[in-house]
Amino acid sequence: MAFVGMLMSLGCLVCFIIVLIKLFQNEGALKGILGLICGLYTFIWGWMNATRLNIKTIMMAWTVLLILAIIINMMTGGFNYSVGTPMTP
Amino acid sequence: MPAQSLFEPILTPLMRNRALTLVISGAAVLQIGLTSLGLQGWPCPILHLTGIPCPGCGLTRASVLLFQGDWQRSIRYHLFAPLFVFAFVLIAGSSVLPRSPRKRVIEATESWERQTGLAGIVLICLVLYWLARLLITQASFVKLIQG
Repeated sequence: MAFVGMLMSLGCLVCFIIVLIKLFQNEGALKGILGLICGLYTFIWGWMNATRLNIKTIMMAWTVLLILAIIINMMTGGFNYSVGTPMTP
Repeated sequence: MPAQSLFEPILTPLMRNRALTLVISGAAVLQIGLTSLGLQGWPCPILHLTGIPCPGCGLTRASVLLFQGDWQRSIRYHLFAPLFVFAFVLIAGSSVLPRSPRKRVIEATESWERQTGLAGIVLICLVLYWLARLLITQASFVKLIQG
């Protein structure tokens, strides 16, 4: 199950990279760096420009994979970040 | 790739699009809310697949700590969190302000961006900061982000 979650995450990464390349090509280097730093911005930008750039299929795939990745990884404990973790010395 | 100078505004084009600012603001509030409740927010596929934090990893948690008043721990998670929170306030503000004050805020922000190029400089410095953490303090950086 965890392996399936990793595959979903890999799919998300592939979609992210495809849209990130589009972001670099269409908006320039600085907005591309912003997209690299904040994947959420890349996701939102992708949907806002999906029709114009003909990437609606990729965005739909990314959305589905994202939801599945979150569900599966939560079930298997794949994402275990937390706020307030004690600092390492 | 379109040619882009360091002094070309980055924030202002976002702020001019009210629909986009509403979506970004909503997503940011949801992300921070979920993280502060200890729930799953936007996952980083780079971190999950490779174990290596991306340049933005830790920003949400740093922002949550900043809102809780814990500046010291916030900056340890991510040094640039205060700047991103400031940018978020600008974006969120431009999504809800009435037309006239919104126009003044956007024009002031554009003027400031064109004069200083600060937005572009911050983004470049953020990537350099990430590289420095990765190369110099990788083990503690990864351990901090993975929780």
